[in-house]
Amino acid sequence: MSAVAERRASDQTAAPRGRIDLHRVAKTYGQGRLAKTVMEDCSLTIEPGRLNVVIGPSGCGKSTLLRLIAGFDQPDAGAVTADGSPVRGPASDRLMVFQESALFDWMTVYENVAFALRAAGRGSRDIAPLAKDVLERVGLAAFKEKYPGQLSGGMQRRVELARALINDPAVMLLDEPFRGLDAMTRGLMQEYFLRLYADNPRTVVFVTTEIDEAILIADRLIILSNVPARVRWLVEIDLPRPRTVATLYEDDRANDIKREAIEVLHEEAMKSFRGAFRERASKEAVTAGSK
Amino acid sequence: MAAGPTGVAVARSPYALRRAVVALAACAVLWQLGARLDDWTGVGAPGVGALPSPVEVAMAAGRVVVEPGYWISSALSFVRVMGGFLIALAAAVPLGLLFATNRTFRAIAFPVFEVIRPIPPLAWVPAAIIFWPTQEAAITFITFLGAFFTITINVLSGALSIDPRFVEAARSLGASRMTVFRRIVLPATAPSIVVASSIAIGLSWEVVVAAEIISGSSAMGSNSGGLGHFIWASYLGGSYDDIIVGMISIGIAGYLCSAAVRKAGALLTPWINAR
Ligand SMILES: Nc1ncnc2c1ncn2[C@@H]1O[C@H](COP(=O)(O)OP(=O)(O)O)[C@@H](O)[C@H]1O
Ligand SMILES: [Mg+2]
Repeated sequence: MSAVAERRASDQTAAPRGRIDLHRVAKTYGQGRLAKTVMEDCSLTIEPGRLNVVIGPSGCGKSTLLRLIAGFDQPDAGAVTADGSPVRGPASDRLMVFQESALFDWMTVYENVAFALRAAGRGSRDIAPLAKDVLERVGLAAFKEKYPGQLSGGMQRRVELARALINDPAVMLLDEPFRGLDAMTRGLMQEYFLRLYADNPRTVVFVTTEIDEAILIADRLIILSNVPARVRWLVEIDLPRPRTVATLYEDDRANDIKREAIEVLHEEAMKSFRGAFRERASKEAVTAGSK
Repeated sequence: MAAGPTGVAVARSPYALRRAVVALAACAVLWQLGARLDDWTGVGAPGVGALPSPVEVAMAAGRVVVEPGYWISSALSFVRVMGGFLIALAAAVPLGLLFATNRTFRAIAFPVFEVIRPIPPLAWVPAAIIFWPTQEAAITFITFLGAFFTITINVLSGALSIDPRFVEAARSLGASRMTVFRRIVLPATAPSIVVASSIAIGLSWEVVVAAEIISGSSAMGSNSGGLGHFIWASYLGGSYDDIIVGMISIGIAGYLCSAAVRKAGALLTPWINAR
């Protein structure tokens, strides 16, 4: 058993931690004429111990949803609760992995991974075996003295996963973690992520814009509506594991889900286009009228 | 070639040294030509024609560098520059960080800072002489001013431009505000501190000479006034070759100091060039 897994097993809490509830949440950014309502009356449950994948058109409020769960932002109305208690701010058991790499450039891979434990006041002799274990699990033990800038994009994402995993957080919030990677690396990272997850399941909220990635990874797929974000469609992905892109390609059930999801997503994405057209048309009408 | 912390390309080419030597030699040749044009053609090059030629200056330099007075002057200027610069560094880094992290303090103190900042250090010289008990303190104060504002402003803007995700990631990993400051804000600002320092020490050299000329012309002996006084005394004494020797000395000293600061900075920010 790995060191982190041992630590986990010794935890007293038997029931899976990390249930997140959003109850009629609203969130508006900006004020006055610049105000933008990103979420309105959004209710949603993140089931504990499962891979909850959130997908939605770009700009629909996925990152906002994660920021509310992480506690970086507070809702304007409604409530966000984690295991029944309201979320008041960031905490290391609801860990956010950011959209683009947010590794600390000035720390080596090892220091990045050890950061949270050092911040928690643990001694270096305590930290070393845990960090070593986690780095081995993401296959980067040989790179521990490198700086993030010296690593490839895929390696950076793995360090980011390691930095999160060492905390053994009850909830992991992943905001498009593989965005920007080339297709090959992305595929490898997805496999990698699923293997890591199988060793060490927990509550995950995984945000993506790629439907294939979503179906490959999800236990539960949550499709958000166009902005303001609400749950538009929720489906249990009960496909057998391990899944690969190849097996899903041949799987009728997977293809049905995909087709239906794409339809919903397309419909939602079109709304923003239609909204834009309408806005433009009304602007043009105004300029024409003022002449 | 790699981008250095200043954003200026740092020469890594094997030809770099050779190119620098060739460029400097070319300058010397042009200067020699300009200085001698009058003798050869009867028509002087404007400006340059009045200057001593590099050969004369080199001969003067050979004479000057064996005099202890020259080295005492250089050492005096160096001590004043380093004193002012180090005090400025020690004061400006915390101030810049405080401006960046404390909104209330910034609202109160920044306007005052901004009104004082545009006042050129040289305009401070008379006030400094009146205010400070010794001339030494007055000149060091001027070199301090030369460096202080530049470092503060750069540290402030460096700290403000830290990617907020770094701070949020750290908070998400359970870091306290103190840990965020020590392990995120400080190192993320370090490259700005290095850049600002290498500029600021050059500014201190720029102002030390003028401060020495203005303040030192009154009471000091010929060897106690620093390089500024060396230049001024050479002017008054009519030894124009020595003026140029003094000027080039300051150029070299400023260059060496900036290079030393960049080198030290590179050691303090090893992640910058590790790519
Ligand atoms: N801090 C902010 N201030 C103003 N508008 C914001 C802010 N954050 C997000 N938005 C806006 O809210 C909408 C949703 O953003 P986001 O949650 O990042 O979308 P997604 O992650 O789904 O692409 C976008 O239109 C974006 O412009
Ligand atoms: Mg986003």
